[in-house]
Amino acid sequence: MSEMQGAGLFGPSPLGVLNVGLSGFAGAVEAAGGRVSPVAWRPPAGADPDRAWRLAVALADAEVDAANATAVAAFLAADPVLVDVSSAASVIPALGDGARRLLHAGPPIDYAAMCGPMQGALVGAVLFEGWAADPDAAAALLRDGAVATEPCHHHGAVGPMAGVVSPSMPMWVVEDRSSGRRSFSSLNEGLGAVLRFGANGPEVLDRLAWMRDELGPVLASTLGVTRSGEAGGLPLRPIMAQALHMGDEVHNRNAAATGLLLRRLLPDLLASGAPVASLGRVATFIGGNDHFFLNLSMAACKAMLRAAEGVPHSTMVTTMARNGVQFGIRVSGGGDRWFEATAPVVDGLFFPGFGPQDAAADLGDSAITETAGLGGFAMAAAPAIAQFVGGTPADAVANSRRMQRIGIDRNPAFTLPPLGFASTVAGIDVRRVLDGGVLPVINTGIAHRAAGVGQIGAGITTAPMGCFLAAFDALFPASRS
Amino acid sequence: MIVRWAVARDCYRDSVALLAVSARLAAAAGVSRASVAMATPANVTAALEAGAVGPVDAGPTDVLVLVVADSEQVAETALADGLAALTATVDHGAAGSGSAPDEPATCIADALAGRPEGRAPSVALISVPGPFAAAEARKALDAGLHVMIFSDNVPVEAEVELKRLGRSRGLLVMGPDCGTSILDGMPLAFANVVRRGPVGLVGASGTGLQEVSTQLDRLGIGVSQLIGTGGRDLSPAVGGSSTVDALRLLGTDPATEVVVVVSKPPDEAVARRVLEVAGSLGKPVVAVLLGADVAAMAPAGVHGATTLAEAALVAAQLAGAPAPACDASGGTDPADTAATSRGDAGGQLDSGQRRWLRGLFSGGTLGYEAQLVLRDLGVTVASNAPAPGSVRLGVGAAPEGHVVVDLGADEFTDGRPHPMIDPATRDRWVAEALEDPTVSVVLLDVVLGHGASGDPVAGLVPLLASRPPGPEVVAHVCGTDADPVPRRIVVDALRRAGVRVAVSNADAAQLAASCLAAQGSRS
Repeated sequence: MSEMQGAGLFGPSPLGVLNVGLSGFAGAVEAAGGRVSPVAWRPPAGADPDRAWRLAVALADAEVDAANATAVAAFLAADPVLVDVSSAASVIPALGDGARRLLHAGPPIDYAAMCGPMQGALVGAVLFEGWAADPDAAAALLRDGAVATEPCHHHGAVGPMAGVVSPSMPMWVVEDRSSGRRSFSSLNEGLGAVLRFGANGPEVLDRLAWMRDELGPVLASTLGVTRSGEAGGLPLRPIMAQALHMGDEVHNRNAAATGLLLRRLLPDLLASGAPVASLGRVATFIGGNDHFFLNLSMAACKAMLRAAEGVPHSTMVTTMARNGVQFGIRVSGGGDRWFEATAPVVDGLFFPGFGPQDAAADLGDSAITETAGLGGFAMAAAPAIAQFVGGTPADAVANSRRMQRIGIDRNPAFTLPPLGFASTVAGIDVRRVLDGGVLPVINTGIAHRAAGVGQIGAGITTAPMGCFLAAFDALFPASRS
Repeated sequence: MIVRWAVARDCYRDSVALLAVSARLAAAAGVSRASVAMATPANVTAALEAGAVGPVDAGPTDVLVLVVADSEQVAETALADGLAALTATVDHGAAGSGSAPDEPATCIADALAGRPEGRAPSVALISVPGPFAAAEARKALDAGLHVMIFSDNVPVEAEVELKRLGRSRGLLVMGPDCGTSILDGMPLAFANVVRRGPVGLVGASGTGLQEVSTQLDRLGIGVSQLIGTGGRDLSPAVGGSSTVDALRLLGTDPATEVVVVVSKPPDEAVARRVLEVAGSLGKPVVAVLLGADVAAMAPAGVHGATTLAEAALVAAQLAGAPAPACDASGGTDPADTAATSRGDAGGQLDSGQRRWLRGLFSGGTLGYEAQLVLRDLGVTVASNAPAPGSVRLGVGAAPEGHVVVDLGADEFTDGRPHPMIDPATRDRWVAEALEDPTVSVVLLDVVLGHGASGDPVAGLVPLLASRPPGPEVVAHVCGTDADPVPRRIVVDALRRAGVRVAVSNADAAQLAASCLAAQGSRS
């Protein structure tokens, strides 16, 4: 029997009381000169008492803490560098084996169950690859399984919105210098009628062809020049860090980062040997798209998070992605399993003539930025984003501060000026999401529910609790006693 | 002069942040110049011109730190300092930004995060719904906090586990089902405003502790600490774990000169163990284990008492209370004799008809003590919470004969507030008893203090004042004049409504028994 120490129970200093539950008990303590730390308690762990107890045990599990430290260290050590642009077929084995296969955003889903924009984008990709002559024939191939579909995330890739990748599309190639591992994302098409929102008309296919035939090759030559420089490529973290100080959160706002990218690439673009007319079209395309950097931001985040995958017992979230029907997460200690819940509808600002009734549910792999502590987590850096939901810069700051509560650690590479240059979150801890009920905030575009209409707004949503509950139950199963 | 440089790779900081680091390095003794800048070609050239030994292999995504100092050691220290400042994790925690208000913490971890050393709480008061209370208590213990669990409906296995865990860490677990504590004068949950003084109380009984502490206050003696340990602490499963720990704490507490231990009837083996520890404290101890023969078990130095009021009296004497304050006679308040009795025992009605006692209690231990006092005076009662010698009253059974009801029992509080918080249930029972032609005496308690109803007799007084001649009503008001609702005001209101108010719970039971006897002698 150990001796009761009573440390701090009685003593010279006034008693400090952590009040968990009835707020009415606080007044008597304060009136007597005591300090009260209030907890605005709500039932944790999905309001399931058995899970709440398992959570309390898991929160004190040193093995989990150690695993999370390992996962976060790998995440922080990853150094994503842009090294190339190359066809998907040449860098993703599953798209280069001659099989008719396409990639899409989010967790796995059958074609028939997909949302309109994703179906439209896949049809467009089948047409783009020349596997079918018209949309009906393309849809039939997809329905019958003659063209297979798999998540981008299963192949080290990410894509915004529908996230559709086909073999001949040019891909950003981002190498993690600490592991040599390469991650990929498609190139951003711009706004308007675009494949990622499910549009698949001639204008869309023509643009994709131009990207394949001119933009991709010019960027490939440009990066060839860049690779020959000291860094052997273009390190992406410094651009992202600088953009955070210029009003971007590198998910839904990429204006500064796109400018920085263009500035960095320009000398190599000019040295690439491409004809002047071609350079003009490429520079005009990049300069005309405020979101051009988004896909690079996503590939960089993917590269950093892949480094954290597969650490047994770790509760660090390594993927958050949506397919327009389901929201799925993956967790470092949970292997390749997806933990899913119904994708939420986004609260946001709609373009004139559109409203929530027109919106598809949350869609795209771009929540990889939030998974890496950027996007909604870094909203303080991009106060303009808060306007999407009628908010103020103070709301943006509040969102970022709230997100710090669910972080495992901090990332010294990225800092947020409005938070006194506080570091961004390094790793979302499933346990902490369950404990305080604080859900990851995601900044995102809103797609029309019908294929091809395009973007109809942008706004803010949160990852659904169900994903985190399922992940927790898998890592900390209920005892079968 | 020594010129040294270093590079922080792939590190972006804006010019203001870089200048801040530069200024910090330049301020160090022995440093004549410091430059911290993005390694643009112009800055690299400037560094070479300043005397840096090249080649400087750094690019515009790197930060170049350049130091000119009067010794190698100073230069190296400044460089290390600069690199550390550039790569450090910034964490302002909860104090980060003044531009957004602090959102309330929604879990224990968040409430504790970022609290500076010495400002952290030392005890967690947990009053969440019972099924979740053990998990919150566990988190608080893991954070190094003592825990008081007000919640009830916590499984006993969880209580055992929490107390084992707390003990292994030197932390006290008060509860579950712990209604009251006063730590260094700080009231936690239901507690009366009592003066501070030399008597430390430990108990597994909430209203029992309230009664002893308010009786001490009445006798002019104050309380050092009052530690509730939870209604099940002295059960065989829990084994008195927290009571023993709390006794030891009081044993070493310099503010405590006399110890009182209070309990409803404990398991006998557990009681022996608790009394053994009590006898080893080196301080005088008074034990009131209701229904147990303390005298037969107690080691030397432990004084037994049979009622809560007696325990307070003995403790007050041990603490050196002046003799006049030690009113051993008990009985009713002096003013009570002036109260207009509305009792009609033996009056207009058939004297044989009114003969039963109805005890209607909001304090569980108070009802329990009343049963024992009545038993010892030859009045056998039925109760939903029977003391030894009482008969069990089935749940939902119509009261017959002498009955003492614990209105705070689970069957009355499921989905409803406890009668100490909202006395509506108690008032309904009183109304029924007043209308029952077979009831001779209504005995009740009113418990005051923090957490209790802000107007505990609002429903009762009109009910009693307007009643036709009927049963005698005897009450005890557990509280002090310093309580949020002062005892004096409640007592006066009850007296004006024709209630006989006693000075202690035991005296109220005694008075009720004497009313029964008087009625019997007239029949």
